[in-house]
Amino acid sequence: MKELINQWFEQSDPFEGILACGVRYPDQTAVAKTWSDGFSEVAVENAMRCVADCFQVLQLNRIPLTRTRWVYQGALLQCERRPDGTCLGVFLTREAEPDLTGLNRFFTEFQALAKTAAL
Amino acid sequence: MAQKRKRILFVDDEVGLLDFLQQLMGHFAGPAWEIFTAPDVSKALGILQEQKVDLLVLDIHMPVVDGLQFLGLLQRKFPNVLKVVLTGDATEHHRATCLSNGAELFLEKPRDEGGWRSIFATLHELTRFQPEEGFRGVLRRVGLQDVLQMECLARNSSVLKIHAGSAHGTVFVKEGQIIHAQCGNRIGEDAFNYLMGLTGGEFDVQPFTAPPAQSISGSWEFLLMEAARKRDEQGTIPPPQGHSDSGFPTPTPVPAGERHTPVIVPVIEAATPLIEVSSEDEAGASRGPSVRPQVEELLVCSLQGEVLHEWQCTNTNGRVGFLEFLSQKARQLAQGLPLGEFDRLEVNGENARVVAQIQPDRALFVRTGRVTAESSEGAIQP
Repeated sequence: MKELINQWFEQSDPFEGILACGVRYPDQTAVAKTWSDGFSEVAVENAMRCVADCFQVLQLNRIPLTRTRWVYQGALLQCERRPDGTCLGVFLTREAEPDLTGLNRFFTEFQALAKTAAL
Repeated sequence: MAQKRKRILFVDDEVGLLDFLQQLMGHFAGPAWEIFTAPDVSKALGILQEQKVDLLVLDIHMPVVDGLQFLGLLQRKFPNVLKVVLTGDATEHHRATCLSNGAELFLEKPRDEGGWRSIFATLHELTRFQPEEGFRGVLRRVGLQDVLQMECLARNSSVLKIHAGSAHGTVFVKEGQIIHAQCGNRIGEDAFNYLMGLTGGEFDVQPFTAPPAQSISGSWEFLLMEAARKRDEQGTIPPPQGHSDSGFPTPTPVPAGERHTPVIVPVIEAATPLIEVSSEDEAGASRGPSVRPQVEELLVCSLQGEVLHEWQCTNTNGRVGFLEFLSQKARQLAQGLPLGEFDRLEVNGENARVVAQIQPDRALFVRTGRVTAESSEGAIQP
C-alpha cells in the first residue's frame, strides 16, 4: 500500500497555488515535494509529523474530523487522513486563489487509493 | 564558539537502565551533554528545582506518579523544558495521550545498540531547538492552587509572591507545609483564603526565606480544600483595581453566576471552506430543509489556561489541554518554513466543525454542528 501511495505521490502534478506537499505514513516515515524555495523537504516532513500528531490528539479528544486546515499568516496547510492513518498535507499560498479543482482532485485521488487498497 | 553543554535528565524506575543510559549516552554525547538520572518523580523534581534542564526523557510506567501524570505536572510548572517519552509500551493510545500532554516525541525503547544510537541522534537533534521565550506563550495552565499543590507534594520550600491589581500577597511553604500567608492587613488563613479566591493576577515562585511569623499550622490538603469551598460559597474575588506589573492583560473575572451565560466572542475571520461541497451535495441540500451551523460549545481561555468564558463545554480541562497542545504544535510545525504567525486550526467533520484559534493574549475553541433551520430557533448563530 505504501508503495502505491508513493508511486501516486511521485507522479502527481503541481497545480496553481501549491507550495509544497507531504505524506506521512503510519510507520512514521514521510515523503515530501516542494515547488517553493522557502519550503525544504526536511521542513515539510517535520510539518507532516506535527499534522499526524494533531490528528491523533483530535481523535483522543473525540473531535470528529475528516480534514484539518492550519491557517498561518503567510500560507495554509490543508490536510486529510485516510482510515489507515496515512496523512496528506498540502501547503497553499494565501497570495492568490488556489486551483480548487486541482486541490479537490488531489485529495479525492488520495482517498480513492485507500478504497482501492481495501478491495 | 564552544556550544553550551546541554543538561539531560532521564527519569525511569529501572535503576539498571538509568546506569546503562548514563554510560551509553555519555559515551555518544561526550562533553556535549551533562546527564542526570532520577528513579522517581520526587527526585526528578528535586533536580529540576536545582538545575536548568534542557531535555527530560521519561518512562510511562512508574510507581506512585506515572509518566502521564508527571507530564501534566511538568507542562504546568516547567513548560519550557523539552519532554520526550521513552517507553517499552508504545501503544497508539499512549502516544496520543503523551503528545497531548506536552511531550515533543514519543519513542520506543530500542533493543540493540544501533537503536540506542538512533535514540541519541534524535534527542541530540531535539536539544538543538531552543524554545522561544514568550512565543505567544506555550499556553501555561498554571493555577496558583496547582503550583501550591506541586510545591507541597514535592516537599519543597519556597515563597509564592502573588500580585493582583493593587493587592500583593505572599505564601510561605516550608518542606511541603504552608506555614504563613499575608496580604495587606490580612494574615494567616484569612489571607490564604483571600489569595486563593482571586481570579486574576500573577505569581512567582521564589527561593524560601524565613517568614516574619508562622501563622498557619493546618495540613496543606485541608487548607486548599477549605479555600476551594470558600471560593465556591462566596464566588471568586476580582483583583482590586490598580496598576499591574503584568506584561499581559489581567483576565477579566467572570462572576460565578455568569459562567454559563452565552457570550459574544471576538469574531473569527470568515472561514470559507477551501474544498467546496460537491454539486450533488449542494443539490441534496437545496431539496431538503435548510441546514445551517449552530454553536454547540465554546471556550475562551487566557494564556495561563484560565477559563475566561465557557458555554456548554463538556470537558473544560480537555479543551484547555488541546489548546495548549495546538499552541505547541503550531510552533513546531512552522519550524524552518516561511509560514508567518499561526492563527487557527479548522477541523471539519461530516456534521461538525471546530475552530481553535491562538491569539497573542487568549485562545478560543468553538465547536459548531449542523442543524435544520426549524430546530435552531433561539440558538446562537456564529
